[in-house]
Amino acid sequence: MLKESCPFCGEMTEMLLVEGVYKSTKCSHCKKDLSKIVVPKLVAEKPDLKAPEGVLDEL
Amino acid sequence: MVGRMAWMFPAGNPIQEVTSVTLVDTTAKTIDTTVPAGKRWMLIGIKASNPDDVNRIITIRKYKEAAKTNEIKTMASSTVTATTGKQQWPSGAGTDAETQRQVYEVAEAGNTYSVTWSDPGASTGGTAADGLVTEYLEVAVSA
Repeated sequence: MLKESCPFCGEMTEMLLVEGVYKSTKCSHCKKDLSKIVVPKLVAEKPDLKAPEGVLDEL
Repeated sequence: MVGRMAWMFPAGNPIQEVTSVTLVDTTAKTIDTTVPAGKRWMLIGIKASNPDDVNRIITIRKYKEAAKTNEIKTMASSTVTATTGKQQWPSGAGTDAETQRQVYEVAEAGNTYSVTWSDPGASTGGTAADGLVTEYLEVAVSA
């Protein structure tokens, strides 16, 4: 059982299991929908696997 | 008897519990994970990311019960760098350093792992689809 704090009312509210991932849902206390909060998404940095221009010219 | 045997030999159903984490400007965040009734866990690891654009202190605590009245221990607590940082148990590094293995952490029904992201002051906030991952073995136990 997972609970998260609601940023609107500060109470702990249950999270919803959606396709294997626990996600925010409507707060059981203040009824605000926590899934609608808009903040930037974290995108993991990935290394550039392609060699820079010119590096492979000798091959 | 089956429950006892399960701990004498490597056993248990491996579970990787993935949780989306959304952090909001000037607001602390807590996510509690409670061991269900009739279950016993052997905790393998916890990873908590910081998707915000400022550093946050991420703390992992263990409580005896879901109401968090009795704290058993603080498992990890350190400043986690913005965007790329991770708090990991058992390493407790607070960075993207590798976690460690071979630490056995048994949790009974009702025990609650509470992860807290501190209030960092003004920030943009952020969400990570896998911001909290709890990895454990679970066995069913009879009363």
